[in-house]
Amino acid sequence: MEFNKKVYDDLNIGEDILSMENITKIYGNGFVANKNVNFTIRKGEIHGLVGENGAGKTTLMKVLFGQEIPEEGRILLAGREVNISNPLIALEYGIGMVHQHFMLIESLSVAENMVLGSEPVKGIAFDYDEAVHRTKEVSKKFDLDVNPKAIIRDLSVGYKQRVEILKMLLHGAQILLLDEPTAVLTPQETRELFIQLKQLREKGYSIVFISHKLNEVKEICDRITVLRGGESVSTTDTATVSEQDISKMMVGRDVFLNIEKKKSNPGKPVLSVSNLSYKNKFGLYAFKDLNFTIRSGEILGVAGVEGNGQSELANVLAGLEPIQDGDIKVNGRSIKGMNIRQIREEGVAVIHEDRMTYGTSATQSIAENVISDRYYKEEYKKNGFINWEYVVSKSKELIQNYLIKADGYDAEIRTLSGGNIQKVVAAREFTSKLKLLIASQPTRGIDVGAQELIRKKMIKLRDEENTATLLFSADLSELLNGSDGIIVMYGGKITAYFPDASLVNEEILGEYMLGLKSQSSEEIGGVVHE
Amino acid sequence: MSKKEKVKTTKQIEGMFSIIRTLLAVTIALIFAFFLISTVSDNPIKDFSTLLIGPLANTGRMITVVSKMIPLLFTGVAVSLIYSAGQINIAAEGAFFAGAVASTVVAIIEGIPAPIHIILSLLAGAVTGAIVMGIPAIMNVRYNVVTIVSSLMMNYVALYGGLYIILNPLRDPSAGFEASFSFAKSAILPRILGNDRLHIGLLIGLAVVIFGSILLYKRPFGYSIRTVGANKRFAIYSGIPVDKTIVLTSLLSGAIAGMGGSVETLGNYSRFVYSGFTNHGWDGIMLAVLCRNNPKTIPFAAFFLAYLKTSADSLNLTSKIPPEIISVIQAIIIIFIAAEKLLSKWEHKKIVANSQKVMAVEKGD
Amino acid sequence: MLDYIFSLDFVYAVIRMGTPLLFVGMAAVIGAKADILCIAYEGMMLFAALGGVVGSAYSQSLFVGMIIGLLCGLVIAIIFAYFVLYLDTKPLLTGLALNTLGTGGTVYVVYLLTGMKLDTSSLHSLRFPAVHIPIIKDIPIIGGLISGHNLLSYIAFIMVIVVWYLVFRTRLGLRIRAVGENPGAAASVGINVKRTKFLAMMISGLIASMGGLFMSMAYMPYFTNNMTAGRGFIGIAAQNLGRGNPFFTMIYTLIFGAAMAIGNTAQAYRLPSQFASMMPYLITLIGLVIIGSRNKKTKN
Repeated sequence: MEFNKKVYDDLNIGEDILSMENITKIYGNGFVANKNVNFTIRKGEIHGLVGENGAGKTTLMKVLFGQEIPEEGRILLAGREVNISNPLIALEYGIGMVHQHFMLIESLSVAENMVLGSEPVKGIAFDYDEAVHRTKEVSKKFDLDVNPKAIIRDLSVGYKQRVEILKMLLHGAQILLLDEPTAVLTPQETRELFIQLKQLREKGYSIVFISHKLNEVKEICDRITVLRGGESVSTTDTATVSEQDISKMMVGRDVFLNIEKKKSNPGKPVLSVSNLSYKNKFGLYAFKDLNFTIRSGEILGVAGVEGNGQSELANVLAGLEPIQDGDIKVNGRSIKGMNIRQIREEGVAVIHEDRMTYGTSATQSIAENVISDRYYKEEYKKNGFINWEYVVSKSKELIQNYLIKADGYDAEIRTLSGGNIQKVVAAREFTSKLKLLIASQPTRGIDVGAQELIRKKMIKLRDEENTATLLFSADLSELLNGSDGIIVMYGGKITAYFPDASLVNEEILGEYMLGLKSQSSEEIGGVVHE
Repeated sequence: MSKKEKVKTTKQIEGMFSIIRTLLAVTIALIFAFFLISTVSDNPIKDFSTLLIGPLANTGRMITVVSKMIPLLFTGVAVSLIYSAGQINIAAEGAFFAGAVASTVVAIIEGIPAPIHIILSLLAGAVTGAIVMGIPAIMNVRYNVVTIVSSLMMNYVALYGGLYIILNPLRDPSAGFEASFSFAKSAILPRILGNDRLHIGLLIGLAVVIFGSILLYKRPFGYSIRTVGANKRFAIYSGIPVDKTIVLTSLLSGAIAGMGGSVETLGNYSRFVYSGFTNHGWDGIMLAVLCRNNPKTIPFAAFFLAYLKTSADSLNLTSKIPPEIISVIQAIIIIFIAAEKLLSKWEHKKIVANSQKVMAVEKGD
Repeated sequence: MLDYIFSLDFVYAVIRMGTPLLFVGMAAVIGAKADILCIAYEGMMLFAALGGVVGSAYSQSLFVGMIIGLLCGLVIAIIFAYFVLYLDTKPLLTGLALNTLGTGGTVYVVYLLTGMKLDTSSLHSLRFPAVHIPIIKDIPIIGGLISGHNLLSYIAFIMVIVVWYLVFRTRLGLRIRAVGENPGAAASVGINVKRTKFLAMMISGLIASMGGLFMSMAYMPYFTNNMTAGRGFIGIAAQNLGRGNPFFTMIYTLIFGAAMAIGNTAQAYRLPSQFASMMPYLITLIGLVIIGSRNKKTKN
């Protein structure tokens, strides 16, 4: 069927512009990401799509943008059924997506990125002036200021996002899909984005706003749709529900994945970080003058908007990046100048936020993956050879204890699901005779069962082995529920310390995470123990 | 038959398809070979059968096959090691050549008792080969230089550097052609099995194969090599000394290739005779691909390749077919075996069907 | 030795040695921009060299010979691109296999056509002419420098500008850079990534084939066994040293050309020729280390 974007003009504000009916998406490894999802957007609204990690938000949007083909269901645009088999068709239908990872070519200019895919030409040459002209025009039309000749790699994250949104508008998008747009933004950038989005709404554009930050959703969205476990739970007017109501819908019960844990009984400091600073490759401080300690038997959570120095801190603690300035002591011994093996031998275990690149080796077996930090030790050797019999029996034990679903100990990691891969990582790191655990996003994007198992194991480590844990998580419920104390990182600094996580909530943390508030240095200094 | 036996693991299915792909590649290559032969030959059927079974005609030819297989054992294992570590180092060719040159330098000295002379000559080849392959590795680790380019350049440096030594200080003016002085009798490799064309290099080569497969799959260092090759960042994160592993593996691989050059020279010739690359290094790459970097199967693949080469030679004697037909066959085999997506749809279907079967069985339990 | 380096003969020799390298270097620039690790240029050049000779010998037309030569090289480029892009074959192995095919396959064809394995000197193939530019050729010094080179050498230098224009000034070039740098982003705005890379590889193959033609129809009057002798690889190295910039790449190909030219005359100066032959490769290695250590400094 021939489709013309003009049909959108005939719609009135508030009429349904797009509806997805009974969408079911099953991935190649059998994971059901969307199950009979129904989702409707009206013309001229900002529609929040909320849900926990792994609830199926991104998948649903990818289906809409033609990047995933659903097994069942249909999509209607202005009442006409359409088949969106690739992004080009989505763009033709006026659907534009702004991904979490920007789809920009870093070495090209703003104008070149804007017109990529529908470039103006003059003879055989690319018409750069026309590209600049078009960029200026669309920039003016939407009141989004960009410099057409700036090179993408020189721009800030917020600026890049603006380019992405403009790019989609230039390609004729009427329906904008924004996948967690605020996760990477500073509070100022977020405020600016909201102003821009509201302007677009007034012009009759429809926007899908994916987030799990409820305050933001509450602030900007007209309606919200909640996804849970791949299913659509409900769609309501934002005005009629409280954040509490939304969170209940998101998790399906009153409390967040609540794992019972006793009050902690902290002992001596295991990790002491003093005056630690780190400059990234551009010479900018990722974090500066950090001071904190974690005591044995204590879980210290780190809250913060992505990009405030958490990843760099985790990498420095793991030995993946050098200690440039300041010091890190583990059980009183400085790890400065140690290689990763030496650091691990001091009892440091690491769950890296990127489990496929760092946490595991996809083409090696489970057995080979669980011995990567210990294969050289006497325990695993016999006469100078690896004692494979022992390795296999150990692996089988771990597979059993960590409920890893796989063909067997010799199954390659790439054949496992995300949750099971993370269980393999946990199985190795949690059995490494650890004193200190650096856990970055340990349950991100994995199924609820695996989440629960990993969280329980972390608390068990704390209680039975007195492990000290530094827990980085973008999931505030995980932090509030899983940590004993919490620090907040903002702009590369610690801006708050809460000794008792049970006395804080998401709103309080949010204010510090967004940099609206900051504690006194005495309060923050409480995180340093002798 | 019980339910359990019916279901396979994904790994088994993938293994099956890798065998099917290999057979398919060989079949396509042979069909192509038949086509090529028929363009030149007056009697393509006869010539094609010479290609297939020529070496079986007499024991002399079979001995040629085994003798041609010896250097391939070395380069095959050498490349398997370095590729297991994920390093695209293609200096095995240069290491082989340099090894031959270095052992020539030692082998022309008179007056060293036989066993010591042989050991010294082989050692010289191994050390030189290690240097040739080690330099690109060190350049990569220290200066982040792309190994494929630097190792390529290294091949030529080894080639011309080696030729310089052979054709200048070591050139025998009385030879009547461009060659080095003759080797001392004490440096020539002893014969085995009472045949004057089979030398002890065969045993050394087989020992290298055993050494390589034990190292890679049984020793902790081999685990480091394979892990670095499978996912370097995972290896770093796990605390495996990655740079050290890369450099040591390159040195070891170069030493094996270099020793291969020594063995081939001291086993078959009375003086240094090469005037250019011998292609044994490139053949080693093909063998490693065929064997998926597992030294254990290198002897079979090496035998296969040596067999083809012998066929081509005998074809060249009995017909008009140029022996270069082997390069064509080799190229086709490599390219089809390495084509990962070949038959992938069929393979994927099998895996999906199998997963469903597994689910059904699990339900049944 | 120095008097040679400052002589006109040397300039001619550098350009003669540099021309095939320049073509491959430009081919490699396009391959690199599309982020394709292609080492199959040797194979493409050999087939093009042979195709040109055979085509021109049988048609007695330089143009027909050139077209057939280019098509032969193109076929190898297409096989490479198809296997790498659509069958997921590792580019290194594909390149290796096609180079092997180039060395062996061409000899096979030579034998098929001439009954000899060494070269095609028995075929009466044509050569590209030298160009004497009117007026300029009469200007002292400059005339000698600029005029009188082979037609393909001029084309090689023009090719630098063409490649620069293609990569940095055309729509296709923009798309090639986009798919090379961030294929996901390119795909998200509807660019067909594989098709774009395929096209880039075809262009790259055609340019490399020009280098092959030069070898058998200008550098030498006939095709000989493995006559490219690693030039395909040197072109890749030049691209690497020139960091993908056509003009820097050109400079490095000329440096290699100079080293080869010196090598060719070294014997006359009682220098071992092997040292001279080794020079371009040694220079590359040293160059790579210098560039590498400089990058390391800027990184820290």
